[in-house]
Amino acid sequence: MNGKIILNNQIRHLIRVIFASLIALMICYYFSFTPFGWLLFATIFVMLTPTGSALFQGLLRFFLLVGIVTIGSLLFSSASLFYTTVNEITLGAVIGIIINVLVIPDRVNVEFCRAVTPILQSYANYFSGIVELLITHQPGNTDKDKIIVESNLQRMPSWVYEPGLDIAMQKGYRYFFMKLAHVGEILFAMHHLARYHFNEDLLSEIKQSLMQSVLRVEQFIAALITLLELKKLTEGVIDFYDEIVMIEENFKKTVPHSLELLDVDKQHVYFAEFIYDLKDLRNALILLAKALRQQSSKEIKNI
Amino acid sequence: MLRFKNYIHERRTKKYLAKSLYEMIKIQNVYFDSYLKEDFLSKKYVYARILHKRTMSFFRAIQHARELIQKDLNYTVMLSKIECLYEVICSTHLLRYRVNEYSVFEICARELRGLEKTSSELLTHLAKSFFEKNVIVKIDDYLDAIHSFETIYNHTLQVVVRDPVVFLFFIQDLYALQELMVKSDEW
Repeated sequence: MNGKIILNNQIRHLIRVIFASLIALMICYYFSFTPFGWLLFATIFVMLTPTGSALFQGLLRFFLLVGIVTIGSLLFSSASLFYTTVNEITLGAVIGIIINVLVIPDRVNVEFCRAVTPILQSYANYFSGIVELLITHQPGNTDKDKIIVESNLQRMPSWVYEPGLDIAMQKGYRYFFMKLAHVGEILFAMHHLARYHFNEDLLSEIKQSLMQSVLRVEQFIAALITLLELKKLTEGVIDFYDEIVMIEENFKKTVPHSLELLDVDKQHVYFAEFIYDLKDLRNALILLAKALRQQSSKEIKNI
Repeated sequence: MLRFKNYIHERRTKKYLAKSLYEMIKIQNVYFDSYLKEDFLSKKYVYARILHKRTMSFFRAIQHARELIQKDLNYTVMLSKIECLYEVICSTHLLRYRVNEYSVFEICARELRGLEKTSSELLTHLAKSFFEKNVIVKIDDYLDAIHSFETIYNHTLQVVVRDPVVFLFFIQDLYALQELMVKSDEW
């Protein structure tokens, strides 16, 4: 339980802010220069940074404060106010930034993993719901799964786009984030196609392969989560390439092969698109795994 | 008092449904930027960040609408149509992952601009129709834009592009979008 609490970045951040505020308060009490509490304010202000960019964003906020004070002093033409305030702001910023960077700092990888894991899990459930909808034409839990995906996506770690995140890690995290969004878009697209009523004979032919691919996606996502947690995979993962080939072969048996003729029937175009989406999903998942392997090797090197 | 409460509730539901449509227009604009702006490849992360922000705003709006509609089932059909619209838009614009050559989009840039303009106008009209009674949703311009894209697909893209089937999917999804929007009297 305690481990979990200490892993939570928000709680770590809160502890840092409280600790820095106490130090700032003590300094304020013993060596206060101005009555406005600039020191305490600056300490807290420079600490309100997004995950992983405490130094850069802290410095940005410090310069912003100095800028505001400079403009204020110019407007009220008070040099003494300027010097004392800037002194306090600088001292406060030094305390805030140092504590924010050094005392129980953000664990970027843990936070990223914590945010991404539920998204991946909800993707697996959503995909299974989409396949069920395609085969049975019953929405079942698909709409609920979609709502869960949407709410999980809202908790995506958007701080990966903030400037100041460790440059060595930044590119990998951003790439992973983009690919994750890509998988989401593919699933939404598949949901739209799964609503269509396809030929029952074709569906019964490919049912087995589709169910198998659901299993494979679940296994693949479980493996991705294991990699995210920097653990070793106990067994190999088989992707769903064979299943896609099987589905495609069955589809080709029932529909015309050439593109011009494919155009004739909407049903055929939709199904061809569904298969294309399946391929895209496979590729995106593989790229996620590759990105993760590179990222984890970088993280291990950093450790 | 109860009537006033219902009125407020209805206004709020309409507001969030309209907002989700406006957010959808913004999302669409980013998608079209990926085809039409030259700096897209060099500023991929900048566009991805903008897209993420807009998508989150859309999800928030639709979530609010969903919560409000749970209490009053009058707008369930509209909500599910908006959800379907988003799915079709996602499906349509998977094209940007499937075609990596910017030069291909340069060939059909005029048609893509036409599609962006007309579809945004349509969605704006649909959003306005929640509050104004006499909004006429003109589908003809959008259909013309699809037809002109289809023409360039048949005459040029089918020959030039490495995997032309992705443009066929694009066109099919454009029609699906049109079908969803054309039934505006049901909205």
